[in-house]
Amino acid sequence: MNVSFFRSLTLFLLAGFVAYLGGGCRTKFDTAVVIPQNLKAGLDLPGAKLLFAQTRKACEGVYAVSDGSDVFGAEIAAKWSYTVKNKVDTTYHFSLFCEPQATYFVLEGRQVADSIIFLGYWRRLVNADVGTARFVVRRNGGARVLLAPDCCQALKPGDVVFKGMYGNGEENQKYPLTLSFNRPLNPKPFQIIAHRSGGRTSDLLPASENSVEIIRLAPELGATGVEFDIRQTKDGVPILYHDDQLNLRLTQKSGLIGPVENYTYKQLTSLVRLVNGEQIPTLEEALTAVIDDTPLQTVWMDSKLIRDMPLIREIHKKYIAKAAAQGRKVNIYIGLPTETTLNQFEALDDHLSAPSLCELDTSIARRINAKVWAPRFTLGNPVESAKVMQAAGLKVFVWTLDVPDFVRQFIDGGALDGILTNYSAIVAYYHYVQKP
Amino acid sequence: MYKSPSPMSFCRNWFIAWLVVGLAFSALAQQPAPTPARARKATAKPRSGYKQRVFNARAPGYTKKGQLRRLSPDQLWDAQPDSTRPNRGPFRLLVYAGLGASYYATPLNSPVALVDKQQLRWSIPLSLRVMWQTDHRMRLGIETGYVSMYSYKGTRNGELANVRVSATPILAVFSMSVVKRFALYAGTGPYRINSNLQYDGDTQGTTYSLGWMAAGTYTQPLGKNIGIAAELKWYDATQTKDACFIAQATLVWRALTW
Repeated sequence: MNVSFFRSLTLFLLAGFVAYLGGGCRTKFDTAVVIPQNLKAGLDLPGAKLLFAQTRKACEGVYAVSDGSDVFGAEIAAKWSYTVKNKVDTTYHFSLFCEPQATYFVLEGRQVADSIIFLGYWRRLVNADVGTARFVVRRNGGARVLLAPDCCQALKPGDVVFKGMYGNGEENQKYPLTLSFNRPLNPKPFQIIAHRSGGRTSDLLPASENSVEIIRLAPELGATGVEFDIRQTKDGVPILYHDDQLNLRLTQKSGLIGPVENYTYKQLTSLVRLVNGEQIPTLEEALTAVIDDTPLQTVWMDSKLIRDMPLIREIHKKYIAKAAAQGRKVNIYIGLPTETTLNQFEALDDHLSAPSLCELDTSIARRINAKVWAPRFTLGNPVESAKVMQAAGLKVFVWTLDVPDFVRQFIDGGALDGILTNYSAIVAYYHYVQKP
Repeated sequence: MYKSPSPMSFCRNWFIAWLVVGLAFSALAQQPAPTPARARKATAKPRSGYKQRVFNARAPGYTKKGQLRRLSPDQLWDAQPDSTRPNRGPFRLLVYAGLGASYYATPLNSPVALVDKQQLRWSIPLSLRVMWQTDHRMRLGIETGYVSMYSYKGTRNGELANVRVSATPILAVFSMSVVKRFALYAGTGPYRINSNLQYDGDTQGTTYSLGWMAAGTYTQPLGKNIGIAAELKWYDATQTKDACFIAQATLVWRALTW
């Protein structure tokens, strides 16, 4: 063993280390964000009652943050949503949207004696920070008003005060957080459309992108609508899947690789699971979840690779009718991102009456009688074009906006009817706190 | 905002990592190792009447028995200390053909929906490597081959499902002889990953996965241009998280010398 041997060995180990670093940038993908569980047990107190609809509605608003403003910002927007499980079990979630680092809270509330308690978790979408939070609205802190049978006439600033504590991770809540009602939410109709059915798998959400589970989660994150990515299997079944290949970004390791269109639906349901263990859903399963399980109002069916547009249109019509039959106001649009899908769509006999969303030129959107024109955000804030299109009866959605400064600028422009985003909580914050 | 590493940045990291490795190897190869023996040689005055023995690597000498003298990497190096001079060599083209056993060494989670599952991680890999042996320590080459990474089977509603996954590496390989007959290898490049599913029909899939390899060989000469090597190797197709450990016997053929 001479010096050169050890030098070579050292270099070889160095090579291995550098190679390890090269692969190490994937580590963040594998880091699980563990949402605190079993929080509901803290709400099951003797005598605890669910909140009435008018009480829930009255809780919504923009709150000023006193204790905790250095962490969660000076203002928080609070909004209720719901999820239905098994068609009968409805759970109401009280979501709080904050400006710093795309932070949101998901809470559940109960009336306990003459107070209202809220318990849940918080999460920052820009990293893996999570924690728990607990709030109490005492009788003299606004609970008397909120729980009154005739609740609630216009609340004034300071009428309702949430005295709370929060903690990091699974630790006990030990930091104070106080919210004081300031004003109602921005009432302007606006669609917050969650990309990939709710959010990206890479953002370490508790459900995989384009799954039924993330659709059910989307309202808690602030979404009022969702965008699906539609492909068709080898045997023609429309499914939700974003990428053109089966890969580890979206699915658990199964040995199946290559284009998703090469596999039959039976093969995919039997052998492939999304990253968090869900099945790849069919388009019909996804639309059923939207209509039956959530308060979502908009569905943007992005046509990634469609061979059978008439089939998509049949499903489209079926679920528009289903929503109407259930009294749900859900706008379901066939998304047209390319000339290919546009040609397929225009080949439909009833394409002029089919609600569609056109990502192409304004003239094309008008020609096909699209209900929505959706330019990409990199073209700039389309204030003037939006006015023209809105005058022609179209809505204008912009995709895909994630950067907080851009979100604020586009919302402040006031020309849009909706924004497609990976971070619904950010858009929800900037929209709801905007003063009319 | 939180930005996930994109495939582009992943490739860039790999490129930079291997650029660093390549430059480090190259830098090392351009400098004579400061062994005590070399230091003595460099400072010693030639004795009068003594003809110093000089190895000529381009025309290797013969032993007293008339056999071709095999030169170790260090001897080659001593014979040609200045690799920048115009008259360089010798250069050789070495061909390695290997056969052995592989073990799939990363977690394998066959689908939970299957029952009566059976997994197979062992296989018999083949490899073919062509290396350009330069007149300094680093060798460059390419490697390919075939390794069946893993397979599994199970039943779903009474119907048999069978999945096989194999890989064909297409790697750029660097090698360095660290002591006589012992060499280390490092390589990077894409792996062509193939899958075959037999369930509800027969479906093939293919993708390319960027990865790397590392290996160590001990070579025993068998003849003038033939040798046999014992080789331990790690194949890692990083993007698809497939990796296997290989132990194989490799036939080494010195195909060309110039």
